[in-house]
Amino acid sequence: MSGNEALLALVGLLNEMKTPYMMVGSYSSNFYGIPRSTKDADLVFQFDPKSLAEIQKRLPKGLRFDQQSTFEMVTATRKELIVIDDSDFEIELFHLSSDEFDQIRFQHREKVSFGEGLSTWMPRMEDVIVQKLRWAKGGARSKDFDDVVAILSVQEKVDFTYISEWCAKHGTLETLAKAREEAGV
Amino acid sequence: METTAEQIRQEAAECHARKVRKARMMSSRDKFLAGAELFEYACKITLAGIMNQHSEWSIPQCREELRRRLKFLR
Repeated sequence: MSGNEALLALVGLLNEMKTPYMMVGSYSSNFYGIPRSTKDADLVFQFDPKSLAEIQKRLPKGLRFDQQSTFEMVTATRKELIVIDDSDFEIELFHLSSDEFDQIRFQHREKVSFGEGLSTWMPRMEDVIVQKLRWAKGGARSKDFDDVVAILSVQEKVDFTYISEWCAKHGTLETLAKAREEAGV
Repeated sequence: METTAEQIRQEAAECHARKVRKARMMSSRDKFLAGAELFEYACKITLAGIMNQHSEWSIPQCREELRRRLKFLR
């Protein structure tokens, strides 16, 4: 099973169950920016034990949950890891945290339809930038900074007032300025 | 003739501009699916490289080496 086949099967299940979720990480930055390779798909979902048990029960063939949920250091949130038979690609299900911005971006998420019955939930483009800047600063991961530069380069209409307000709260204004300079916007 | 730092900077800027143009032309579906497709393509190339470098290894051994290398990705 390929990574995308596994992801589409999971997304189909979450849609069918009406589980509140959204794509995050490189899937969201690829959507708004310049696509790059990624070894995993990250999703945030509104955790409750009942729905997690239901997902585990109905998980498509070829996918299985890793034994234990783990704590993600960069994002400081709990996550479930889904591994795929015969694939090195992985899917990570992050629990929606109580963090103020995590809550806001989840509320802002939008349904995106790709045709041929494929649809999913995405954060708004500005929210992807704000979160990536946090990771670029806190986790010092250059790929997150590059993702922000890519989004800023591709997108023509960006709400910098909104982004700056959150960056001021997160202490990432300097990183935003550097990204804007690099993207020439 | 030696390549200057300015030539490298210009080439990098042109390369970035090409990527931006291409990304703007892609459908949202293709952009959504690109991450895993590129990953799997890169894995195939890396695996071929491992097999070439270690022709005495079995396929499971080569796959194990690929997994070891993937752990370096953050």
